[in-house]
Formats: sequence, C-alpha cells, structure tokens
Amino acid sequence: MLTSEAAPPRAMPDRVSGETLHGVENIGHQQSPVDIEAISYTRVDGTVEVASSPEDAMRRCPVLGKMSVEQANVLLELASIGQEKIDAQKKPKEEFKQKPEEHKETKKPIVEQVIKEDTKTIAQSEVKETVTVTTKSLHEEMIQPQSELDKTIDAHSAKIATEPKVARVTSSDEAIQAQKLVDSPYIEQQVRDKLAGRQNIKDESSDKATNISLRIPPIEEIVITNRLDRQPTAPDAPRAEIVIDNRIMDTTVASKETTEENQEEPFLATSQDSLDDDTFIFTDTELAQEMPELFIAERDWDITDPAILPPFDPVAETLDASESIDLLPEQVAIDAETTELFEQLLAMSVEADEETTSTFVKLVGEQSEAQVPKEVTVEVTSDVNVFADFLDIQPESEETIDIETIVTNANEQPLEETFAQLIELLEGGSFDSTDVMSAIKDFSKAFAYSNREHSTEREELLVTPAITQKLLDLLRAIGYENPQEALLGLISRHDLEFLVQAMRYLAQLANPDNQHEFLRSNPVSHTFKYVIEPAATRLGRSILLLIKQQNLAYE
Amino acid sequence: MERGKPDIEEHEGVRFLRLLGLDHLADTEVVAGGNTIEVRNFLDVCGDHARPVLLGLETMDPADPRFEPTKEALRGLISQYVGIEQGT
Repeated sequence: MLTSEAAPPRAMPDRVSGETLHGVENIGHQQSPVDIEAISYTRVDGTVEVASSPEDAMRRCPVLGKMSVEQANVLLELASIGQEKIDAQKKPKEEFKQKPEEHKETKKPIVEQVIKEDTKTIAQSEVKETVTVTTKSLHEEMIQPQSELDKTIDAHSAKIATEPKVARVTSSDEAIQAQKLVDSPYIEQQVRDKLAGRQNIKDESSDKATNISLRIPPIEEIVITNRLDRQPTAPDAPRAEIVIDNRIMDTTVASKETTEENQEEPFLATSQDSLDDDTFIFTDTELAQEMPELFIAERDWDITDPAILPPFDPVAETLDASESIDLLPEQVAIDAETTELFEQLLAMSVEADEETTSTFVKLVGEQSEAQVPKEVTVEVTSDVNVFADFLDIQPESEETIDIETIVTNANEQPLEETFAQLIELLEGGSFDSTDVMSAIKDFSKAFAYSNREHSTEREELLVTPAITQKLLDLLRAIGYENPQEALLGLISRHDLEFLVQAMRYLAQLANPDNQHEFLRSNPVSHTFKYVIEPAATRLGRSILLLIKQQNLAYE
Repeated sequence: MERGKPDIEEHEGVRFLRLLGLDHLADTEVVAGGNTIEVRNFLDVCGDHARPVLLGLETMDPADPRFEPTKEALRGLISQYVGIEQGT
C-alpha cells in the first residue's frame, strides 16, 4: 500500500487508457515501499519505465496521477480484489473446458439446491457466486481422484514402456510342449528302442525332452504296425494275419488325410511274415538318408543264389513236410535256355514302366509266334487290367453256376471268365468237387508261401514256378486241356498284374479263415507298379518254361 | 430478478454501467480507439484494465465510506474515455 504523500497534479490525459491502469496494477503488485528505491515496471505497450519511488510511478500514471494517494490506494485495492476474482473464475473455466460434460451435470442441480434452500428473494449475483464457488469445490473434488488415477496410469505406462517387448517363454513351457511330442509312453518307448544306439539318444536320455525334439529330424510320419496273430481255423490252411495300421503323425493336413484313409481301409494280408516287433516306417526322406537302417530293406531276391531264400516262417511248420519238399526243388529247376531268355527280360525291365509290360507281352507274343502253334494267337490287350474291375463288369448269369458248368465250359471261354465264375462259386461257399477244391487249396498254399506283403505302400510279388505249377494243376482240374495256352492268352489280353490279382483273389477265397475279411477289404493293390521285379520274372520264367515244354511236346 | 430465472446473465458492460449509474448510455455509439462501438461494449477496449477495478467495486460494500468516492472517480474515468460528459 502506498503511503507517500499525494502526487503533484499532472496534466490529465485526454482519455483514460488501459495502459495506465495496467501500469498501476504492475506497481501495486511489484513494489515494496520499504526497501525499493528505484522501481522498474513494464507498461502494457511493452515499454519499460523506471520510477525512483512509488509516488513517482503513480505520478507518471495518466489515471492515478490526478488522484489523491488515498483514492489511488482504493483503486489499487479494488483492482487487486477484482483480479483475484478473475483468476478464480478463469481457473474453473479452464478445468471445465477439460471436463465440460461433468460441469454441466453438476451445475444445474447445485443451482436448484441453492434456490430451494433460500426461500427469500436471492439476488442474481449472489446466486451466481454461490454456484461458481460450489461448482469449483465439487469439481476440484472430482478432479483430484482423477489426477491420482492419471498419475497411477502414467506410472504403469512408463513402466511398461521401459520393459522390453519380447514374448518370453520359460524353459518349463518348452519342456512341457516338447514333452507332448513324446507324451505317449508307448511312442516314447518305441522311439527309444528304435533309435537308441544309432542316434545316441540313450546317452542323452537324461536331458530335457526339448533336446529330444530338437535332435530328432522333423518326422512327417510315423507308422506303427501292430500285427496280431490269428490262429487259422483250418489246420492245413496258411495262417492269416490281420495287419492293423495305427499311424501316428504330426498335425499336418496331408498326414491327417493319410491317417484317415488308412483307418478307413485297413488292409488284410495273407502273410507268412511273423514280425516279432512292430514295424516302423519312416517316410521322411531326410531321415531315410541319415538312418537307412531304420527302413525296411528292399528285398532283391536272386533265385540263382541258393543262400538267399525266403526267411524262415513258422507257417511253414504247419504245412506238411512232404509238401514243403515238393515246393522248393522246382524253384531251381530252370534250364539254361529259359534263364537266358529271362536275363534278357530282366535287362529290359530296367526301364520299368508301362512300356516294359507291353514289351514283355510283345516279347511273349513273338516267342509264341515263333514257337507256339498257330492256333495260339495273341489278342489285343483288354482295356480292363484290374481284376476287381473285371469282376464288376461281368454280367450276372441267370443260370446257377456250379463246378460242373465251369468244367464243361472251360475250354470254350477265356480264362478270366472262368476265374470270375470260379470266384463267384467260391464266394458262395465250398462246393462238392473234391478235386477242384483240393487244387485250389494247394494253389492257395503255394501262393501264400511265396507271397508276402511288407506294407501297403509297395507290393512285392514273389511267384515261384511252384505257384505256376499249382496254378496249372488247378486249371487242369477245372477242365482246361491246355492250361499253358490259357495263361498266355490271359496275359496277352490283359497284363501280368491282372493274372497276379486273379491268383490272389483265388488264394484268399480258398482260405476259409480270412475269406470274410478279404471280401470286405479291397484286395487290389492301388500302387502296383509295372515293374518286372525278380518275383515277376519268376512268373514269366515259369510261363515261358511251360511254353517251351509245350512246343517240345508238339514237336 | 424473478425467481426461477437465475441463470440469465446480464451483459457485463451493462452491469458495470449500471453500477456506475451510466446504464442509460449503454446503447450510445461512440468512437473509441478508432472504432465505433456501443458504450456497453467499452470493456472490449479497456476491459483488461478496467474489469479488475470494476469487479473490486462490485464486491465492495456500498456502505463502505470509500465506495462512493471510488465510484465517482471511476465514473469520471469511463465518461472521459467514452467521450460522455459527466451528468448526461
């Protein structure tokens, strides 16, 4: 508060300007009359003025300079009070700008409340003041917890921002996930049994499962074949084995589809293989290159090597010893001329494709033309080279077929039609003809002895001269006077696989133990390749041997 | 003021003019600062300086002996500013 004497009269300005009032305000806020001798203050227009004393500053003011000191002090006091009110009004307004909706919600009820409480007439200014102050206090109460909440959020946000944005997977999670790969005790045991010692799993078996999963190459497919032995009901029948594929694969779609396909079509095979343990078939090519010993070795039989014989099979024990002796010697009873011819065929079979089969048929035809009597002609190969399809297109005969009819018509109809009738008869059950039934069973035994299936992926055919001999005996039994000619005609009309399929059909149906399962299953191999394998050469060799014998007989 | 209509605010310039006893000049047009304005809008020109003082006077108790002298002083300043002779 200014306490000096009244300022000397000065010339009044023409008009009162805001600058003068502002200058007065500055003086009022800044000066301290006790210890300030020279006062520097800024006018509204930006100019800086220096006064030697507050009285001097007041005298320079165009407004206050004409007033008495007391009156000027009153104005300064009022200006100070008014400025405080303005500041108080500005502060809530700024806060209301941030929270306009909240202010609107609280303002009206407060005004109404004030009016209700005051039953007397209330001046407008008083109402406004009350509303303003109350709103401010309530708003401050609302703002305060919000500010604390904002601080908390900001603190957490800052903490999160400083943390590295990396997805963390603990080692325990990895172990659990890897454990799932070998979660099944059965699979784990099988994998360890098969891979131990070859891949050093045993040395590191104490490691975490994660290590196991990393060490094993990505296995696309693991096939576990459970072979359940079934005892044949007939004592003289070859033992049938039901092979069930339980495939355990990864989650790839292709593998799943393969699994479903194999589950829908379990295959049944008459096999004399008796595997003591389960067979693992790894289809992963990389694994096959690294651990070829895990895969089933391709059997490359050489009939000229007596050391390589079919592995010992317990089923053979069920056969009569004399029969076994009868079967084996024929396998090596091949003359030099036939062997030479088949070496030529085998060389041609290197280019294994469909062409090979047709070449084989052609070669057989040439041999036939040269050596076989003229009445033996090579007909055009039939379009139907799948025996099952051939059976499907056979017309249903109105007459009931019996074994006598088959025997009577054997020489007048193609061999495949005779096979179809014979199969139809076998599907209906056994028949009375002891000779034919015995021949069929003998053929079935020979076929079952020499054939084995290792998997559904690849069919290995092993047809020996003994099978051919049994087949010829069967054809003679059903009425064929020249069974060799009938066989040649069938192969020329169709192909080698057709004959094999027909023989398999007969062999399966002749076995009463697996006949039912066989009829439900699909005995046709979908992946039979036109490759003349050693097994196929045996069949061809047998056939050509018969041709030669026939020619010798004609001569 | 009628009850039930407390939120209807009076024009700020007119309110201050009424405080000073110059509300009858509210609609008068004058030239101030080079622009033609109505007297009620005088705060648009000198409001930054006059508003705190007028607010202080508005809150001052009229029974205060300093009230009337201050009111007259401000009335003279505003009248001079807007070019209105005092008493008119």
